[in-house]
Amino acid sequence: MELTGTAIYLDLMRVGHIFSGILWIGILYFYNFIQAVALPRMEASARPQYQTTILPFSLNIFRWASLATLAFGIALILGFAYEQGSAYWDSYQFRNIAIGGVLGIIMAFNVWFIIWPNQQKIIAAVKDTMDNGTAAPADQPKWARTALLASRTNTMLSFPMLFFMVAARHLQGLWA
Amino acid sequence: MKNPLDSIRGTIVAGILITVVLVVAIRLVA
Repeated sequence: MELTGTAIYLDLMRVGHIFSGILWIGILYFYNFIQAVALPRMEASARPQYQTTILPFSLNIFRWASLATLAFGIALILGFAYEQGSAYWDSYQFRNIAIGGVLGIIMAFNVWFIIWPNQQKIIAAVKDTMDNGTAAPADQPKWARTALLASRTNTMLSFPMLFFMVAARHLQGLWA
Repeated sequence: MKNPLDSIRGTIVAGILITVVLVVAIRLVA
């Protein structure tokens, strides 16, 4: 095996894609499988502390990890197309990654344009209540519901997304 | 009909179902 610039580029993109992808989906699973269940058990007076410290911090890592995953993924596809030529677009690798990739793009869109804006409004409202004693806005439950549904949609889509990501390297027989 | 996304269990079941339906559909068509 020859050590080429393309091989080094692809390995670097792989490391970036895998690391940022696990960071993103790991935090998504934490929100859905742990936070959503455990936060209501926390004493009501303690919750705003969590919502204004840990939540915004983790949301920042969450959304940038989703963007990084997307960028590294696209960089990988372009690299494979460069390495393998036009045959790549007709390969089982590309067919599987196209399905997983479209699901991933939908999920990243949900993060940036539905979950993040709604959570931002909730965090600002909670902070306002903490600092100034302002009553929670009437729309706050609506923001929470929208963010929850988008987050659960992403959790649901993560199953086929991850399956087809792995299938792009390990399931040639799917298209046989 | 109940929205599967109203519960964690429904979310997981829906995710697995979508995966299985996609995989079976591809195997049947390809």
